[in-house]
Amino acid sequence: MAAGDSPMLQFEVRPLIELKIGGLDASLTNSGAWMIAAVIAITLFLTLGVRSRSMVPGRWQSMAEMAYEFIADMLKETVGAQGRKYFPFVFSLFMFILVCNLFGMLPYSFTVTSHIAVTGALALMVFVIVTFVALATHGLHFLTFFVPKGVPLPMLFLVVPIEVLSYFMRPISHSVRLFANMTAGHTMLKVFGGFVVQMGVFGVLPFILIVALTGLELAIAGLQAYVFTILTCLYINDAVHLEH
Amino acid sequence: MLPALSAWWWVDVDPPGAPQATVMSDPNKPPSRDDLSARIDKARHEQGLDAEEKPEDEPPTSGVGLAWRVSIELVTAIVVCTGIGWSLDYWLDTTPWIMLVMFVLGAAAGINNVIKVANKMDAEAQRDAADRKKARQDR
Repeated sequence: MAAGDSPMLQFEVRPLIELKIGGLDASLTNSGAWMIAAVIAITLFLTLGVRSRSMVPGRWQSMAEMAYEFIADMLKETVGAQGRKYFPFVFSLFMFILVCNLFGMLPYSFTVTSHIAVTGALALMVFVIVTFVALATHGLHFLTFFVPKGVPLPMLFLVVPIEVLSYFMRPISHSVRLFANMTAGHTMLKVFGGFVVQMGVFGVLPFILIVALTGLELAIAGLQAYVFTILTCLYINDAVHLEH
Repeated sequence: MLPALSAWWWVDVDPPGAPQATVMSDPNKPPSRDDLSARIDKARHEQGLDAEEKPEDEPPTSGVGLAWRVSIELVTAIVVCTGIGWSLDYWLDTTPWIMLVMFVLGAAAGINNVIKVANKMDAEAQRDAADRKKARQDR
């Protein structure tokens, strides 16, 4: 296998348009370009989809409304009526991750969500917003979140640091989940793709497998977008209702 | 199915071509969203539409998804905490003490998060079971 055929090559970030602002490298990379493509695609999908505004929706309008209702119901079920005002944030997050994941399934494309820098930034944004929401709604009462009920006083010296640590672990597991799933899946696809070429006639066997794996990856693309979003909803619920 | 109608409860604007409300206390004041959703719920109930929202035998949540979720929760906490401890040791020249302490704390934090996830799942499962039982008795 030539050096240029590494299954990890697909994750390389390359500058498309070189751009330097001051000492900063602000080049438009393939990663950035696919993010912009995702945002444009979402905007077109939703705005053009509901343009006709018919009471009985057509196929396209149904899809747009289904995405909308899916997140609306998710927020209603996990957070309740107070979740309403977080809808724009959660919906944007879900659509962005979903479309980035799906764009990653196109041949020759770049999977934005296979980079911990991207998922980490998203998870950190959720973490900061959720913490801010909790502080804004409960003030310093928020700190009782780290003190479980019914724990004897001496144990609190041990339990409170663990609770605080658990809280700060959230954005890490939140981001690693999406990143690991996308990276592992796409590496696997490329490795089996290499087998198809190497094995000549017998390459039919890995080829059949790769067809099945592509289907699985499509399912994972949707599932991981869903998981990232429902965890965000659960964190918002914790912040709003201050439950353990 | 009322796909167009149920999508509107969340937004401020009135659906185009929606019938004007017949019961309104003050005709100059638009009804609040809560009022609107209450009336939609009532109308749905009268039409017998809420029954189809809860299918009786929902398939259980995917076990693989749960396993992934829980294991990543546990592993990341341990790895990250041990890594932080290792770097602190490297920096402060105290190998291996901070790493050992951070490993234990990380494991505790990871297990704590896993227990929280499991408790939440448990509560949901019990609530679903109770709902299903109630639905069966109502019949």
